[in-house]
Amino acid sequence: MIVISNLGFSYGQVPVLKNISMKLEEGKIYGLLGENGVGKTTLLTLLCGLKKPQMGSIDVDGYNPYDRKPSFLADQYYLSDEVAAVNMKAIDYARNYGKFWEKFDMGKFLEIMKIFENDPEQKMNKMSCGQLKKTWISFALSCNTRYIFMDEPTNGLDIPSKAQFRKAVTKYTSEDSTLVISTHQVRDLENIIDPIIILDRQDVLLNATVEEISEKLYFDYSNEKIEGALYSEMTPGGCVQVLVNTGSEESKVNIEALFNTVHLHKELVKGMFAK
Amino acid sequence: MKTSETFSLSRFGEYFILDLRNCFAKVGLTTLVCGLVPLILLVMVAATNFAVGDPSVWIIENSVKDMVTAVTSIFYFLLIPISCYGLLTDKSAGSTSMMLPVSHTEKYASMVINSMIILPLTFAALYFATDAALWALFPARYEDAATVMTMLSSFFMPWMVSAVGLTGALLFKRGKGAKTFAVSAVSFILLVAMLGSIDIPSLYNKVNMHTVNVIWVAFQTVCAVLCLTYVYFRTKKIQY
Repeated sequence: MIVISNLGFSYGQVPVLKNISMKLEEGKIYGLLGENGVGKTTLLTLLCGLKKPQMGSIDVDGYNPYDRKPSFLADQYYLSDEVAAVNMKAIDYARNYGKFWEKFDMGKFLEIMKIFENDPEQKMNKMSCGQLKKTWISFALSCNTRYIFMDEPTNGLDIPSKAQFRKAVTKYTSEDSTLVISTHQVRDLENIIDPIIILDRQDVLLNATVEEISEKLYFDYSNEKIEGALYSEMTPGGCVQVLVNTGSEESKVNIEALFNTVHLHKELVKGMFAK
Repeated sequence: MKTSETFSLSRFGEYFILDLRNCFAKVGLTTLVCGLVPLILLVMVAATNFAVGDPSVWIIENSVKDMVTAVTSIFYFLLIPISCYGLLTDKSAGSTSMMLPVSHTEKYASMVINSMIILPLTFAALYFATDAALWALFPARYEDAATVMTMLSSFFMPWMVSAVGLTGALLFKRGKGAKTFAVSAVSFILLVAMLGSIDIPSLYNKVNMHTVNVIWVAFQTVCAVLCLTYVYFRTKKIQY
């Protein structure tokens, strides 16, 4: 389990994260959402140990990530938004580097590469941006680590690849693995992320499961305008409106509408989901 | 059995071999070209003399050869660590390397051994071998470079130069090679200027040449240790 307590981080005089506290449980795929510059990447890099918290602490199964101990690193994988184009064939990279992760599975790597229709015999520095990203995603999932942190993994992927990504994540993530995926492109990850974390400037607006969200908010897809809706948006297929769920009605969570609702009614939503 | 968090020989061995292979992939060709510089020089001189009109005379001036040897060695020792490890400050390549489940001590040891021992030795071996072969083939027209290389090595200790190169690789974000070279050159000029202000002739009367050499070696050792200490803490504390 990851326990974040009163975490704070600034770039010079500019505070990015302030007094952030939350718990990330095992076996879940967290969607980390937020506007540009709210600190999604910063939070991920703090979680994996690439940055040192300036205030507060992070505890990952008893480890302080910034110590970068081999046993901690062997149980986590961080996939950056900017991936390196290594001068090596994908299969050679996996063979040479995979051995440092105890549970790395070469067969799984090749299977995921196949799902992505990527050639493992191709040199990584000759790949397109999307192909390279898919190679790194394949490698990250094949490491079978307890924690995987992915920063904007669907950036640069074409439409079929986004579907392949969802398939790969659903099929190849072990039950006890925790994935934290930061993204702007919520539609790419709809149906796979649960719980959802929405970060705001220096604050966590929401950290709740889809079930908790649908218990407290109702997503209406009818074309009738409803008075008192927290948020409404015309879509090509009709209309989506978000209301406070007073009648325990079930509805499908629309993450984009949820995101906009949370941003329009920060205090209300924070109060609703306060545990 | 629980593996050590600081140093595991098997893990280090695997990492070291991988790191060494990466270094050779990055600078193998440069090492080969630098090692073949005596041959390249010979071909260039022969070609020039042939073009001038007297192909029978193509003796290489010792001063030219010495200068080329000195410049090649300094550039190699200084710039090779930058080519191998300069990307550690880069967000994508550096973070990938930092997140590899290998301890900092192992990564640091591998970096130091590769950039300060293995690569410089490979270069020197190749350079001497080329030079010796040319000397054996053309004994009348060629003088071996071993003397100048030995002299140079005793003046600038190669591993001190490599330690400076490694420092430059991690100190600067961009233009690492040029900046490292410029800072090193300026520091050396300042040192020479500082020494120039000392009354050396009177100093010679008090201390002998051996003592001066010992002081110089000690000074370079201190510089190298300071550089390596910086590299150790920089890589340990680096953030992306």
